Amino acid sequence: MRKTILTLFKRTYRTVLPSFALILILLALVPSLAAQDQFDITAFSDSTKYGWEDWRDRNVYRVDLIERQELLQIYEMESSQIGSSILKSALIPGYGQISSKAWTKGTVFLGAELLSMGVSLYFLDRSNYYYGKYLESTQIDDIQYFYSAAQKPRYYSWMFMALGAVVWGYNIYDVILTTDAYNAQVWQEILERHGKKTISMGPEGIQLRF
Amino acid sequence: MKFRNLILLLCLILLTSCMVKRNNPLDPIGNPDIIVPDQVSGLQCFASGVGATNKYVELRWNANPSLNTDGYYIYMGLAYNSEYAVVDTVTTNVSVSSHGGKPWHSVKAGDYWYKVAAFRDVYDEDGKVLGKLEGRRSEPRFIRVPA
Repeated sequence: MRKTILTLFKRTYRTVLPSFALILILLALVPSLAAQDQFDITAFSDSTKYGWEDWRDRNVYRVDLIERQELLQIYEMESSQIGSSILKSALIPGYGQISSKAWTKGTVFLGAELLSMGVSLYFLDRSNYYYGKYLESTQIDDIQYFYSAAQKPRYYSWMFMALGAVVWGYNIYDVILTTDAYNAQVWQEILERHGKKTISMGPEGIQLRF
Repeated sequence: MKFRNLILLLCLILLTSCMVKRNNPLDPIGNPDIIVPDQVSGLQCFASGVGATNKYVELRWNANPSLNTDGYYIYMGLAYNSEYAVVDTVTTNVSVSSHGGKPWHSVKAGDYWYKVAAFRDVYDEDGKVLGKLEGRRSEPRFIRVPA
């Protein structure tokens, strides 16, 4: 008896389950099918939703868009690329700032870097001179004297080299800020120039502003 | 606390890397096995007599222990603080030397200052000579060589 019930249950399970799954899928599709019915093509193609009342408004918008694209092109030409500025400043400290028209800053960075590296090299040269004397020395006082004389400039050399590294690092940080500020200024100038322009030529002909 | 220790460690590493290397093979600080000759003491100078044909200056000092000395350099200068030049080298550990006194090597009449410094031959592990390490020079001694 028990075996018969189990077999019957299995048979029912096999036949009912696929139908049940199909019903569930159909139920899930119902809302989207209903939405298809509700899609309004008139609303979709209605241009007034963009604020255009008629073809004149659309034309004005198009002209405005073209002008903005032109401004963007000018901006791309006149602005500085941040990556390029960083590379320039990494190779020659201050060069990135100079290319972003920050002449004073660039000169100060270049001067500081050259000065610190120059002083570092000077002390390194002094240190090497005395170190050479130290290596040649055979007298105990000379050995101690020339070693001390070589040690002090070596410290100074490292100190100025570290200063040069700090200046270099700050120069990289600064070139990012400088380029950003320069690009903002370029955009502002482009907008001002464009605002001052009284006569402009476009596809629609010549425009005159008062 | 950890951060401060890290900064201190970095500073220490930086300072150590800035140090000039003691590569001179005669440097006793870089090579602790090297024995530095003692400073020469008890230097005395005696000049040849008046009218001597071959004038000389005889130098006497206290000999250093043979452990740290293989010979001596004799320095001569024209003033106390002038430059001194090596005028003779004694290659044995003795306590006397004569500068001049021979027809081909005599001292002219005049005032002189003498110094003496001991040296020691320094060898590497293979027995190869690395050089002569010279110790501190003695205090200068004045001598007048009469005409």
